[in-house]
Amino acid sequence: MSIMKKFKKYISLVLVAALFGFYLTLSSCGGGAEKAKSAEIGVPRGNETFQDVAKRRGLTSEDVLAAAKTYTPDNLKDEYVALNSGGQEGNMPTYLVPSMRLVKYAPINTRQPYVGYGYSVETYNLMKDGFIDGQEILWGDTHHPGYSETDGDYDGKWLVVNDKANPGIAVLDLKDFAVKQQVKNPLFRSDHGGAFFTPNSKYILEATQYPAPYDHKYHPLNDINFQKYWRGGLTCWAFDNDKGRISMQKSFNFELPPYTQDLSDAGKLATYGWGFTNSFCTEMYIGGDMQGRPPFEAGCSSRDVDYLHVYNWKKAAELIKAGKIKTKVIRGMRNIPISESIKHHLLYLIPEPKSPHGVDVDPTGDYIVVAGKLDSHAWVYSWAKIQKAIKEKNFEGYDTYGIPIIALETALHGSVEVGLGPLHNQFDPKKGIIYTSVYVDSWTTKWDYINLKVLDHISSNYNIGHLVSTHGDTRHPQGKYLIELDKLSIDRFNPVGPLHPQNHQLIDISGDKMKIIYDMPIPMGEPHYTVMINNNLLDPIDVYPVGTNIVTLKKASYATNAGDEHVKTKGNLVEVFGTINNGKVTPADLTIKQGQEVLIHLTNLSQEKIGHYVYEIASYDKMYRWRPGETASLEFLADKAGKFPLLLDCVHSPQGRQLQGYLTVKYNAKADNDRVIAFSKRIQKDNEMQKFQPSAIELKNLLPGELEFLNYGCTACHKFGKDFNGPDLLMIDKRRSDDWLKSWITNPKSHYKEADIEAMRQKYKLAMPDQNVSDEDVVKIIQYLKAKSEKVMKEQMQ
Amino acid sequence: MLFTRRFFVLSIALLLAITASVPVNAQQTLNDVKKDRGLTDNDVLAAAKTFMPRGGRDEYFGFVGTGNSGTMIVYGLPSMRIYKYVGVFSPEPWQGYGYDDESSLLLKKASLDDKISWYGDMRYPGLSETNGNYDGKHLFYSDGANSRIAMIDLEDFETKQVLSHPLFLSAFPGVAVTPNTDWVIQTSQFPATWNAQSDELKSGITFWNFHKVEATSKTGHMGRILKEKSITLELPSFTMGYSDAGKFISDGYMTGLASKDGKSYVYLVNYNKVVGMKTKTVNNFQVVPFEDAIKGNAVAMIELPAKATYVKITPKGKYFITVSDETTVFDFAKAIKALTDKTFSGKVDGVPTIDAATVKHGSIKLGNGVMDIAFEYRPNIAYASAFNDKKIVRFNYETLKKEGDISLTFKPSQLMVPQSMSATPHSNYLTAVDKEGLYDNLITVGPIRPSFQHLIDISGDKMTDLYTMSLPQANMYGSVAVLRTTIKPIIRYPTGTNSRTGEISPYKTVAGKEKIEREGNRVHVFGTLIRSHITPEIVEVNQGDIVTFHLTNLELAEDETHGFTIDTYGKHGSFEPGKTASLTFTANREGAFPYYCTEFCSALHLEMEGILLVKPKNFKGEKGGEITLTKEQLNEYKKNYEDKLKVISQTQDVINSVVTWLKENHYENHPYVKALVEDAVAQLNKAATPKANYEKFAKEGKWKDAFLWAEQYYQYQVKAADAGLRAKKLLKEKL
Repeated sequence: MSIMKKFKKYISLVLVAALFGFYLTLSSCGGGAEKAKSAEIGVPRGNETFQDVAKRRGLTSEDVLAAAKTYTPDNLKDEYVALNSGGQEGNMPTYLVPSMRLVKYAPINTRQPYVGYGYSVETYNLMKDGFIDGQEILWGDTHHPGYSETDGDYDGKWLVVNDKANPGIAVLDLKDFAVKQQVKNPLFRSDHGGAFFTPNSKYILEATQYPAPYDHKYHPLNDINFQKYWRGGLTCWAFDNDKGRISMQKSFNFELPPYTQDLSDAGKLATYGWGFTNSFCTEMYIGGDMQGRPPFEAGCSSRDVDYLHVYNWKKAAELIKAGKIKTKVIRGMRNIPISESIKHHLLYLIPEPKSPHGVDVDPTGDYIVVAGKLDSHAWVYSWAKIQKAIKEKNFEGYDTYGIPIIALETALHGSVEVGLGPLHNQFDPKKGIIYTSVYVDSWTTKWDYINLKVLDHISSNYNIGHLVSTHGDTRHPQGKYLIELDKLSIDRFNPVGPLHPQNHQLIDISGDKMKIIYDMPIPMGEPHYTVMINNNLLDPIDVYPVGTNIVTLKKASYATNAGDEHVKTKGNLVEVFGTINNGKVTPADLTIKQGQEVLIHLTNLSQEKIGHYVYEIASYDKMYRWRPGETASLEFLADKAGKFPLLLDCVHSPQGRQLQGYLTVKYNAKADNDRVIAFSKRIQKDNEMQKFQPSAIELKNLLPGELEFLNYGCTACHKFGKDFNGPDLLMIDKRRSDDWLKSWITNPKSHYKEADIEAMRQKYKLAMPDQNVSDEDVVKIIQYLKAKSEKVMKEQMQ
Repeated sequence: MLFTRRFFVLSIALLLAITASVPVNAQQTLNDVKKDRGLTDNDVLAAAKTFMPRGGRDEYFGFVGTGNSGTMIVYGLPSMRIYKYVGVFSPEPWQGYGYDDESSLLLKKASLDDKISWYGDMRYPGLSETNGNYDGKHLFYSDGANSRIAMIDLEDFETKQVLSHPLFLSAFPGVAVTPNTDWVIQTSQFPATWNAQSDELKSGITFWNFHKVEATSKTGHMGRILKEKSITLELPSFTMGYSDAGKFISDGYMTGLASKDGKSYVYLVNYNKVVGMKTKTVNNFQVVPFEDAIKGNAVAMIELPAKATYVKITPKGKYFITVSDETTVFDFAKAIKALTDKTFSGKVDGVPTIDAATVKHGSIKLGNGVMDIAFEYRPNIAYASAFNDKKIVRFNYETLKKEGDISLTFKPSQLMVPQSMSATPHSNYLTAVDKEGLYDNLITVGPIRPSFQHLIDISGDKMTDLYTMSLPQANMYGSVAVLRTTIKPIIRYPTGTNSRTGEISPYKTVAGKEKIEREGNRVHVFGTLIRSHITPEIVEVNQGDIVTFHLTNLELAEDETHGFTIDTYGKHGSFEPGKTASLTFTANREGAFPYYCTEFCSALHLEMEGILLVKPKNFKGEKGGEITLTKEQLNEYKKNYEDKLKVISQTQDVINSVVTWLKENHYENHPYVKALVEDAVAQLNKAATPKANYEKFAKEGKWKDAFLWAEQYYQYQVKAADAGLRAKKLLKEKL
């Protein structure tokens, strides 16, 4: 307890001291380019020498060196590929190091039209695997990616990433950088600490973030229920590293207390078989700033330490296999109750610095380093010491759930003051060298975790979150480059409005002193964690064999050969088997009855690297991109009648879209009625939101009530001066009284039996729907009916 | 002074750079790096021309037509770094575009089906102009996929308007903007029906009326496209291509490409005449009937000897140039005269034709597979890309002579010079799109590769290829670039702004006014976001309730954006400082759903969380309750409370000293520093409530509550100090 007390005392003091001692390095230097101003902007500069350029652009010799270290002309190769979680953008921004050029936004949880993810039947069905309880989810909050490993080193086969908002894991194949599997965690409502591979990719670790009841049921929120029903967890997803697939059946979950779990790491070598997961809010505090309680941020940071979870996944797996542990399958996931983990010595807690983020096992597996954002120290734990404490049952006590707590002093190798807000760690090939990102102080600290001393600091612009070094979380870090993932960029780049890009700063770590050599804006999304892999481990493909379904990588049963193209109609379904052959789609024209379901399977016969084609149906919102050799399907309901251009765009040709033919959808009265009814339902759904509000200028140009007429979807059926899906509204105010109109609009059903209404229902085959128009809005709509009639009449008179 | 000293040092260093080694640190010199990486002197020169020193500003903003991605790309020249993607025709969750209520409705109302269209095809952007020059206010895109038009405000880089075209089923994916942005011109592309029950194929040219507002409000440029005042010129079925609007002597006219039955044309329209003509209403849209336009002598066509890819009007409006291997320069004055005098040679589909020979200035053979041209500052100079020759040719369109070329390693297609489509093109940079992107050494990341463009230096007599830029998630075609200083973006909104309308939202909520309103099964949560908590933190609703979170970001500090989502409910919003947006969903599943801030905003960002409880009907489970503290625990809290008060007092001393220093040095004279100080003061002001609370609870002996409120007081102090110290640091630099 003595160390604990000591920490307790100085943590708060140090926090204050550190906060005021270390100023944020808000430097606004640079901007050299602005200083050199020619007489007139945009005038040809003429032939410039190197000196002219340096003078004009205000380059220092450091700048030139940095430029030379990063500039990568076409005859050179970049060295590393960095895959970033895109955060709330749901894709994975991918860039090359050291040129820092973005080459891909690999879609994970968000539809992406450029690659067609979520637009073909095949890729949409893959996204569907990510829907939860039937809820359509078309975005994700990708957080922590991990590369698959063999013997604790990247093997270049797979990448997995979690989704914090919709907990689960996606598997990306590094052969084509496309998602192959989506699994959702059936227990969690939120995750964060994942995805982390174990050293031979047997399991992927995924920890909860915010706890929630495993039964997914409602329980009144209070301390007793929170401690009884709310749970954290650590899921070990079983992974087949050859096939690249997760098996839910072989996976299992450690039930954990409702602490807010955070990042994890899998042990290696000495720590092989063990996993480590951070947590914060071990206070199990429930905020409620409108219920008179202080917010979560106060209650969740009120203890002086939080808990590092140490668990033996290897032994757990063995016990499950041997049937020697009591588990229960909940919604398909095998769960190990806390009591069983305790009983079988699978789970321990160790105090750790307050509000931690990164827990990182060093390349030897002997040390575990934790960065806690509310402590200015990074703490180094010794595995040898932890093992000894476990063996000797040297515990300082047990938590509320009976989990043994290993005393800090028996586990700690030492701690080093790295700055205020330590967040995450990465390693260097040199023994004992570690890099820690420091959030509040906006810098990276290079230090020695064995000899416990600080070696160097380098500033960041600004507020660095995670950092990544080359293979920095494996057994063999490669050094050379480190990237700071800055959370704020404030004044670093050309201003682009209130929403700023993130700033990724590339650091040269080859020398003793770290040097920033590139500031890269991340233009979309907010990467949380990045993993960087040496290019020589990757061997991606350029084309698929003809007829490939890119999700399964197997030949699609509906792949079509040239000459075999045909159209099949079965009941209400029109199924097209076609090809894309050298810029031509067969069949070129399609004729369909309104209301039919259409399923178009196309096979791209190209085997050229640049044989990518986008096939689209104009104004039907239907499109997909066929990669060379791909077979994919478009599915839609032909709900609109008309003649719609069918277009093909060869992506890698400058020619632009070429007309293939037309989709002719023949008008059908019943189908058109169905379309109108569906339209009306969408309007009703819209009106659950706020009313659509155009800007004041647009509003000024509308007739009174026109906006309400639009918002309630009246335009779907009615026009002025013309019959449409419903009767012509011209002069309606002369044919009906205001009171009748009011009653009709607000309560149409009460009028259905009136003879003339009945006649109109026969004629238009549609009944006026009840759009829940408010009393206030009905007055406006009637006002519009009058004003519009008057306007149209005036036009007709002219 | 600083500049001179810095410059002195570097000029010496750089003098040596090319020939000798620069001792940068003990370990490494420029020569080492060159040798190590295999760079030539020319590579280093190219690197020096493009590398952006830290914190530096690019000279130009570039805006890209991204094809079927439906998302705009903003990048900087010459560093070629991408700054932002902006959702335009496709939803984009990072910005909450198509995921919050305001933007969802914007997109839904932009569909004749009241659906969110999931993609668009945008290839040629157009910038707003004043007197033929870019004014940096608005950007327009045409959607060639779902026939829409969009306007982006360059004050906050958000899409403000998306409107569906009531007539076209296929629009050309580009726009032309008239010299004073009175009209934004969109044409159809492939002929299609205007009426679902008719087979008649038609084409057309739409003049979208743009209502300009000179004054800029606090919330953005207020200009908007007005559908009610827009006009479509009806044409018989032609396949329509790229178009451009005239300026100066050709002001009031536009040209564009058209084709039919294997023949290519360039058309000429007197749009000043067209927009004054009598219209009929089709699909609630004003249409000038084809016969009237012909009768009114407003349109004619010139048959071209070969298919052209583009037609572009020279910066002074004197010529229009149709691009093909044999590029033709047409004299605008002659063409206008021919149209006015009705010197027609015949008719195509009822459209009068003008004989090309009579209105031609001349033509020039520029190469094989000539794709595109771009103008620059030098008088009468343009650049042409010869795709098959892998060349860019510099030529004079007045003398019709070539003036040099550059051989490339790739096949160039679309070209762009900054300001090129305005009355005052600049020089020095030219971008060339490489559609194929076949690079032996470029690391590929699967079958789908990005788009590429090269930055070419045209400042001197000799052109040089400087940089190969990749653009992911873009099928790149045309682009435009404008001088950086022309655009004046804002960094925050006035508190409570609905960014889509630019007006204060009726759902604006300020601190202390948060509330939950219920009416039947409709629940409105009026909440606020601030580092590092969401108010309210606990929301309980009944299963089946329709719930809306209306949230306002109360931050004033630059780059303090918060995001918001409720786990597994599929909604997301991005709340930049000052913004109010809403998320509506049906709470159809019972249970506890965490909600949280999705944008890493502060050290306690992860603690910026809350819980949505959805209660089923007839709930009969355990009620639970609060846990009573033991005496020991209570005493522990008392001690913690007393310790915390000490820390608070120490912290206050430091804050006071910072405040004194800031006042002495007149922070109020520096707007950016002032903003930070205001932020710090705002944080401290928030601490008043926690203080009242902890004092009250301490008096009552409720030590746990007292301690927690003291902790919250301290958190506000830390935030105030954080902002205050930034202010001090910045003020020091400014002094």
